[in-house]
Amino acid sequence: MRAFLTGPLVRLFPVGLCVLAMQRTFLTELKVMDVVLQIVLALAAGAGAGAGPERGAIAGFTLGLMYDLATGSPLGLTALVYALAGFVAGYVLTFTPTPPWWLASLFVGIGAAVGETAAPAARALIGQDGWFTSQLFTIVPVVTVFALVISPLVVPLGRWCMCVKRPKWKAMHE
Amino acid sequence: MAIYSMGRRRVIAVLVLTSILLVTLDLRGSAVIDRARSVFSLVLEPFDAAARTISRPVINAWRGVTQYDELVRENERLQEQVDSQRGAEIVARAAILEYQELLTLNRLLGSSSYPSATAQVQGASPGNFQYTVEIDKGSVDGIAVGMPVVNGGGLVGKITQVFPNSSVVLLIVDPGFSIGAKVLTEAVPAPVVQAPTSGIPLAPVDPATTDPTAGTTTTVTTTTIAPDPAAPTATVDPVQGPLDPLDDAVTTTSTTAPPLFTTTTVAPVEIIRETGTLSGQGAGKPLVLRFVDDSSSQGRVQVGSTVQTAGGTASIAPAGIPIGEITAVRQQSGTRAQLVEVASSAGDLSKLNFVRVLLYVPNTSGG
Repeated sequence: MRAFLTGPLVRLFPVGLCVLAMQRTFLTELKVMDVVLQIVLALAAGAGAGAGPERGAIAGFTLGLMYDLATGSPLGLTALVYALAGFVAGYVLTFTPTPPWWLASLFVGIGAAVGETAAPAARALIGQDGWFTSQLFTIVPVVTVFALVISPLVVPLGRWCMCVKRPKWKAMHE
Repeated sequence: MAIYSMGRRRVIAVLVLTSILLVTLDLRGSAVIDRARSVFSLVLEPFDAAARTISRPVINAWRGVTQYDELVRENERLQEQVDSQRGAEIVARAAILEYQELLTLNRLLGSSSYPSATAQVQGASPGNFQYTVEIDKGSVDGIAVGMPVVNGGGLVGKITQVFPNSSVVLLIVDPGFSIGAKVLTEAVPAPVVQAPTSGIPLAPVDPATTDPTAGTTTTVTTTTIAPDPAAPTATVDPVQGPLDPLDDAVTTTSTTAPPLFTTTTVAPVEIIRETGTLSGQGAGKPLVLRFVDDSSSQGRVQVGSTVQTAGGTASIAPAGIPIGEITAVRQQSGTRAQLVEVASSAGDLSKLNFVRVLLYVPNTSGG
């Protein structure tokens, strides 16, 4: 019980609800070049960049499930896509355990780009065609840039949600 | 750090398999998942309301900054449009009343015969790969999955998700949307003009003034009576209205041949009805109509023809809801099938505010 209460789900669920509410209200109105900015995707990628590929995939999966439940898209579809985004963004920790902010931001952007590109592909797999259009060349860059811009916020938030602390290096006494 | 550790592979496998399982269950229809959606919508409702309240001033300020000029231009354009349509509206209203009367006389159901619920649009689709809007009426108000949603212009979409106090509407422009539609085209014959005794030529009657809904045969008669040359000419115009294109022709006739009795008869008008399936292609793109029988539609549909819902036992909407107007008929390479593009009459779907849900449940037991 104690492990559950101190686990990531207890943190991720309420944060996810707040971010999802922002996505459904605020960001649907503030379109940039007619593209809806994706903060939930950015958080999934941020959790990956802050906590590693496995935890990023789990965070992305959980956030994606919540997104599917809220928007009526097929349950598990966005979860799979966001899990991929979190997983890809988490690869930054394979290069260095304490990535500088710009490297983490870069991987958040890459994760978001992969996730947004994978969304129409996943829909095509279940027979929902018609999303691979030239509009994709606008949507993916805009979503990527937005994720890059808010990465200084979503990386620490994602790390906190997944109960991961940033490693601190100490000099060893001889 | 190894890129693919055993633990990592296990996580990937579990997540992928879980996703596939959930997608399969959801697409096949699961009461448990539907229940989970309803519960989650109730949990999310206060968060949505709070976010909407907090963000409203910010959104209004943002719109004020970015959309002011556009709004002013749009307002001027709409004002002009309203002024020009005021006259036509009176004519249309009279026609609607007559149409309703005919439907009642013949015991037929029109789209306006069904009860409806007016709802306000709460939000647009949060994603870039889904054209939906959320409305503030749900199962409590009698809304059910599959019901058609309309606005003043015509068909807007259909209900795809229903929660207790809200519903999700799949818009007509979504590539996943499809509905049975019919095209009504008038096969225009050459007008037959009975020449007056003096042989003065008459202007041909515009066939657009014939009523396509009245049946397959229409006769328009223009009578000019002016026995006294000193008296002003009296004109009997069967179609009244400021935008009646027949007016000019009648005026010309009466001034050039004042003392004559002339009769202009339009030959029987054939109304061609073609049925097909209409689907969306995404925002900013026209709707696409594919015919049930491609060979029969060859050369029979025209740009400007009106498109309405076809109705029927399997259709989600009753017959006669306006969908739009044909804007292009293209021949596709390698196939006889024509590509028919339709402009939606519902207007800009990204700016929906109030919509009407027709509480129409298709009678599937009939066939």
